[in-house]
Amino acid sequence: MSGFISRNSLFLSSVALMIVSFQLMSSSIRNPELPGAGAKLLNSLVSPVQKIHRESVGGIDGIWSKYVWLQGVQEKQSDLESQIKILQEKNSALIEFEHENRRLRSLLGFTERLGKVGIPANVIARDPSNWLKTISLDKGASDGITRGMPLVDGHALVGLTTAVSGDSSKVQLLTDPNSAIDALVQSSRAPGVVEGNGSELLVMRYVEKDEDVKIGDRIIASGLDMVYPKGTLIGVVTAVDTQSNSLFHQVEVKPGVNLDYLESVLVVEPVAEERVEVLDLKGRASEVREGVGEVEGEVTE
Amino acid sequence: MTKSVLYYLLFAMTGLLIQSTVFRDNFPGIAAPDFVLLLVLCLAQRFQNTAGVFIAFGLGLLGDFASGQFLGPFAAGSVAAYSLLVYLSDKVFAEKGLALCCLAFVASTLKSFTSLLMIGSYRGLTVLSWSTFTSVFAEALFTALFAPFVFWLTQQRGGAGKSSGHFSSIEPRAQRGVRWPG
Repeated sequence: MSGFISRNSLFLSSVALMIVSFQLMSSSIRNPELPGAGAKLLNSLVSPVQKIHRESVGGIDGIWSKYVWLQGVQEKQSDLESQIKILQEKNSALIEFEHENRRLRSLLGFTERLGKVGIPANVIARDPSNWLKTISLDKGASDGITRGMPLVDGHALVGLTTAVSGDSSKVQLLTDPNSAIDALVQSSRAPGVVEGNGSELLVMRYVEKDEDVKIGDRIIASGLDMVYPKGTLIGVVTAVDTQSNSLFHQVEVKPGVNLDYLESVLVVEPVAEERVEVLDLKGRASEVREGVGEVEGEVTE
Repeated sequence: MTKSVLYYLLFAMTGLLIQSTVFRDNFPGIAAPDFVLLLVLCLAQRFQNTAGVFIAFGLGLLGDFASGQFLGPFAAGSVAAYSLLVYLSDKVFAEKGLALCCLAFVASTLKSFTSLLMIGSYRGLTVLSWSTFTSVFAEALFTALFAPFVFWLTQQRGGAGKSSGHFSSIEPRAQRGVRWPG
């Protein structure tokens, strides 16, 4: 027996580790904070390097375009031409400022529409794998971000924070296979669940066959999951499968924002707290109504 | 051995950083090469024993931590890729860059499908869409292109040991007391 084990130790170890992997997978599904804990540790190790990379990319580009190229250009071209170059550089910087300004205005507009103050953050890294869809942000617990906060860009949902360390956070994008949002078709109010499947598109499930869904319809968050703000755009319908024998439509949705090109996002509070306040107000309203009823009763008597 | 483990860990973290920053920033929407898989490939060449499979598992787990979504799919993928490579090591001589690229392509595809099947078994098989398949093959292709470079890089440093440049060791595995069923 021991001879068999020692001869096949490699094979047996591989099988054992595959079983351990399945066990880990099952544990991480049951307890989503488990992978988040590892991610938090790794994030705190690599996020300083990622931030340096993000900042240095601009610097290196600047050195290349402003120094290395201009060395050769200055030898060959007149002062006038170099002035034109400088002006072009400035123009390019102004265009960049304009883009940034537009992005920030769009984020500001969103917070005004939502009536909440968000935490603006920059994307510093993306998921190293090709089918899990996550990003890393340069803001973390020290900036007030907690696990389970939704993210938006100027006009649409982006995802949800899943692991937060001191000064960085990990975000699960809408397209991640683990993502699911309670949603509505804006025009017909048909409910469904929008899920990611690892590709660039989303799938909306559980939309009943008799509901009216058309290509081009906007899909919004219903707010019933107590996380994503109600009415926020998720995406636009690009295809509806009505041929299959299923009880439900299968709807393909294109996210409202290009998740591959995200630069800045806004982290907002989940709706749960807002709901609690609304419920409290409802409770108080019913108390007031009861009080008024009693007074009216007394007056009649 | 401990030194080698530390070097592999360092290489893996550097690889993950390059994947998540340089490739994802400059080529968004395009598959990035899987450097961790390439390290597993180097590992299968150097350590064809129980310690090797545990290191491969650890490297995969690091990939799982980097994504922060699930624990296990990349670890299982790494173990599957390592096992395949050790199994092939007596049969394939990868003396040239092209052969290394082919091995990396096959190992990357196996790793991706193992990970995807694991995710699919828990999250529904919708993850196995056409776009996922194209993404898997694109990743395998990019990984294969980088294989000779990463191999050369790991051979430059002592932690990985000196290599003859062959994927298969000249010494048969049976003589070293390691046996693979079949």
